[in-house]
Amino acid sequence: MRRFYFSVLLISLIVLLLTFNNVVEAVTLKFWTGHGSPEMDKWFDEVLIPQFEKSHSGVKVERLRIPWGEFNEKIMTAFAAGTAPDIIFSGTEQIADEVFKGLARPLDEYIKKWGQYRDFNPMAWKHESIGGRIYRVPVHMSSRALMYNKTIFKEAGLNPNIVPEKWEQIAELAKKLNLRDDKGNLIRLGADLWFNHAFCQGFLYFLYQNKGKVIADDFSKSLFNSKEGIETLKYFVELFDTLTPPNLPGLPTGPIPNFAAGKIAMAINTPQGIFDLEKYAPKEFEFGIAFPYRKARVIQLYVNGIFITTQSKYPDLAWEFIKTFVSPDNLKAYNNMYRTINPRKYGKEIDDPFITQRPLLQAFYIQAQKIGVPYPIIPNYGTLQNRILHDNIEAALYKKITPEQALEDAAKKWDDTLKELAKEGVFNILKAK
Amino acid sequence: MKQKSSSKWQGMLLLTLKYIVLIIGAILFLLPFLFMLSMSLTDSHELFQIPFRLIPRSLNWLNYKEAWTENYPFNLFLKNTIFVTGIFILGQVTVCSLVAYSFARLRWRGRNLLFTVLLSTLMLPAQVVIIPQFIYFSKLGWVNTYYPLLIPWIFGRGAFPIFLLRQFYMTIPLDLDEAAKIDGATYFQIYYKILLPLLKPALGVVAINGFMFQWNNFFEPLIYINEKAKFTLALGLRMFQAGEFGTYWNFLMADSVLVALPCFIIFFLFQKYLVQGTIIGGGLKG
Amino acid sequence: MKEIQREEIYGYLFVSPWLIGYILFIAFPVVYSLVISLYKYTLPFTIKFTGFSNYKEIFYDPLFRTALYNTAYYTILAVPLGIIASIIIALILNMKLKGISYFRTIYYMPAVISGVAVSLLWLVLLDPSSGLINYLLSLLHIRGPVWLQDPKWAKPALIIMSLWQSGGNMIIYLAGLQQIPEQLYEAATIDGANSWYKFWRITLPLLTPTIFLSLVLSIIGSFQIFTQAYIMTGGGPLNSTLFYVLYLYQKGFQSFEMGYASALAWILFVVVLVLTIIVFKTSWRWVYYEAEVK
Repeated sequence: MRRFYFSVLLISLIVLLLTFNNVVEAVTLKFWTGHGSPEMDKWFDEVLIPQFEKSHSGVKVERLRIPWGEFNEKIMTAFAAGTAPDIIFSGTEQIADEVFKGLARPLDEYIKKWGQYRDFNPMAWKHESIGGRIYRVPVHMSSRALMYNKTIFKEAGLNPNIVPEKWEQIAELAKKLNLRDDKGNLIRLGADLWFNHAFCQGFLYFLYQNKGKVIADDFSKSLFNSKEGIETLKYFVELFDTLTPPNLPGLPTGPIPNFAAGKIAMAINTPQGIFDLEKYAPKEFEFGIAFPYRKARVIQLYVNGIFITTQSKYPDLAWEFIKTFVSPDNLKAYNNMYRTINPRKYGKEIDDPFITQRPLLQAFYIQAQKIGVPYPIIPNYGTLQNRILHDNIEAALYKKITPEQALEDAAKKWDDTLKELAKEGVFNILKAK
Repeated sequence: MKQKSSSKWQGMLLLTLKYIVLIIGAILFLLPFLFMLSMSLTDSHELFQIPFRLIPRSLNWLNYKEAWTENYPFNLFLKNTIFVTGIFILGQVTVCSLVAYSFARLRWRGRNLLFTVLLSTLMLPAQVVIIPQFIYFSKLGWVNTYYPLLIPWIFGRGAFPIFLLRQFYMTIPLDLDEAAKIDGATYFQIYYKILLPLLKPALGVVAINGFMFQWNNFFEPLIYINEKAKFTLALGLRMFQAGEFGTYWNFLMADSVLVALPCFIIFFLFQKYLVQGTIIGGGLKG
Repeated sequence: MKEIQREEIYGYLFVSPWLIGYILFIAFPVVYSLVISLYKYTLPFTIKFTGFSNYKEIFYDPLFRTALYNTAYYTILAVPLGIIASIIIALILNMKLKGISYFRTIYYMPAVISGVAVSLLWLVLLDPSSGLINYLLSLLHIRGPVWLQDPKWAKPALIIMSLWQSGGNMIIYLAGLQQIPEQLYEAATIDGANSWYKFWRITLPLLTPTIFLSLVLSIIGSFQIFTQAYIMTGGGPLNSTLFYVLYLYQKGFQSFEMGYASALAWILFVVVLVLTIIVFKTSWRWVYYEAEVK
């Protein structure tokens, strides 16, 4: 009797092992993304991934979203441990590190065979290539513009048809539109110029409008310590002063973003921010959009792309997934949903009613095509941008050092770091062909 | 002897004063919790109102439901945290009690030296070992698993529980061991059948401390856990806070309340053990 | 086999889980970490022996000095204030009143929540316009500072937060207080001593062993402050809350300069060790032991 049970157990174990083996046979592509929102996650899981899995039987896609705060760390940790995913969809600033640290595979072979290169905005490819080789496929582009609440302008007794494009206008309006209650508490902020988050991006935003440059094309030295750079930083400090203590708006006040709720009169905003305006802003609010300039009319294109990792065991399959993601219909659906700028070209007229019905979004599309330039590519941006430049600009904002000192010190530190990186051979990829 | 009636009034006055001080202090300490609770019940549109309100206009108990399931999979995080914390406690209770037994009851060469070594690890900042540990755990492929959160603490880093338990052992008379030995018990049996049951209060303290530590542990999960599906509650709260589309602070507070609740419950139920454990562990008795 | 030998074997056997773990997870990493600190080790890309250059770089690194200063500032204020607060609370809670155990729970409760939850709670409490702290201050007609957005007030804000949790240490002081024999107080009363005298001459001296233990552990713990800064301020503003372990984390796990981070860790170790030794060496002056060591 015992032998009978034993053999049953043995047989079921063998069966289990066999079936387990079968399950393991299916190929799983690991897809990590830094971008996400409830809608986007849903679109990935319910539209894109099932579509891909249906047309490629035997392949499963496992999606994982990693919060931006830990994005770099998780990616690096995974590469270090050899557990990197197959496909990564990452952000604008990461491109240099992804290429120089050997995380991304060059995609030129695949793109040549694909034949859809010319369908995309060339500025987008410019951002995703380093050393003449393309490493990522652009998926969506963001940008920055100054959006303003015309209704508040009217309320404050200002002409709602002013377009705050000139630097002096912006500073003046920002001061005028601050509103306090009788206790002195700030109840409306004149302008949210991103001082309490990525103000490095804010500085670079204004720098480009002043025809300033950030870094040499061969990454040998920094270029922001110029007359234009100093002018920009001085202006940036002046804008910071318009906020007056308490300096920065406090915590985000609830789920309704401040700008949509009318607690801020003007704000540097992204096209994705339009989504919030549509969802939360009261119907009476009328918004305008301005693209500030001083010596140059440009807007920065924050190109976000997707790449195949060098550790992927299935690069061809990964490319299949990428192709599916950026196919014209999918890319259109994705960009519309996210309110970002589609990197595919769209000719002189925009024929998509989704965009033309949204004047703010349409403005972005038009300017992106006309005067868009890629966001600067900065290696080791974590150190160079978010530490060195950030600390120096912050010190200048808090008046601990002058703008000249800030930029000079930052430039020197950048140059030292860049020299060291060059010595380590980080930039050797540029020479190889 | 003093006059009885006036001292009675003096006594009453002193008593009232004492209570007043106690109550004022208690209110000050409790206010943040009240605020936490009140914010968790606030409607999304009323958050961060100026002027300040302690009690929201309406008590949205539904926030708790929405905060827990609809926005982020806290049930999953809860499951993970219970798993990790449970194994942590079990591991520490079993392994540390055995190790402490060896230190307390058995005689072997080098025992005192090794015990001093054990005590010295209490003064070691965790950061000195974290980086090498991270490097070889990555090489072992243990990143994104719970092993790094458990194995080092159960084997090797449990200095405080071992110390505490050893103190406790030393309050138990040796006669019990002797009697058992005469009856032919092995060392393990003495540990398991006789001493361990008597150690229950101390084990309780180890378990509670372990619970508080691992339930709220943030640094190690931050470094090792990549996948949202494996997040613990602490990482879940953090992910929520770092979220992109505005921050629902009312839901975040609701989640924080729920995460903190088990700690309160356990403390409340077992505070007697904590006090006892501290007395013996601090070497203040015996 | 002789009984003594048997006992030894079992002794080693039962202690082996800890011993093996100690070697693997403490002894070896400590040495390894010292070795790594002599390398330029940016996982997994560069591994190059550079000798003491990491340490030299640290010496010239202004952020290192900032981190050390911030951590020292925090420790020097938070630890003594915390001990004083814990003692006061313990004294209050030692009173023999009805329902005192409920009050003990209340005073202890802030220490029960920790890590992310308490950081988030205080992030909201410290909001300059709509937070509880500034509201309470406004009731006293004081205009509260912007706390976490002001480089001058960010660290004090975190210190206040830690004081709120000082009820956590209250237990060991309570235990310490309850160990003091009643007869001492009675004898003092008979001799005509007032409460002040009783506190300074009896209570405090007899509490010094407890204070000593608490001091050492608090210093070690305080030097490792991390979660609050990570969650609430990210090290700012103006790096005023860039604490040592946060800086170490940034260097080790964000820039992946593991060699540099290991050097930082060793310096931390040495600093904490030196402080601990100092506390130990000076303890004979102020710690009162009832029974001498036998």
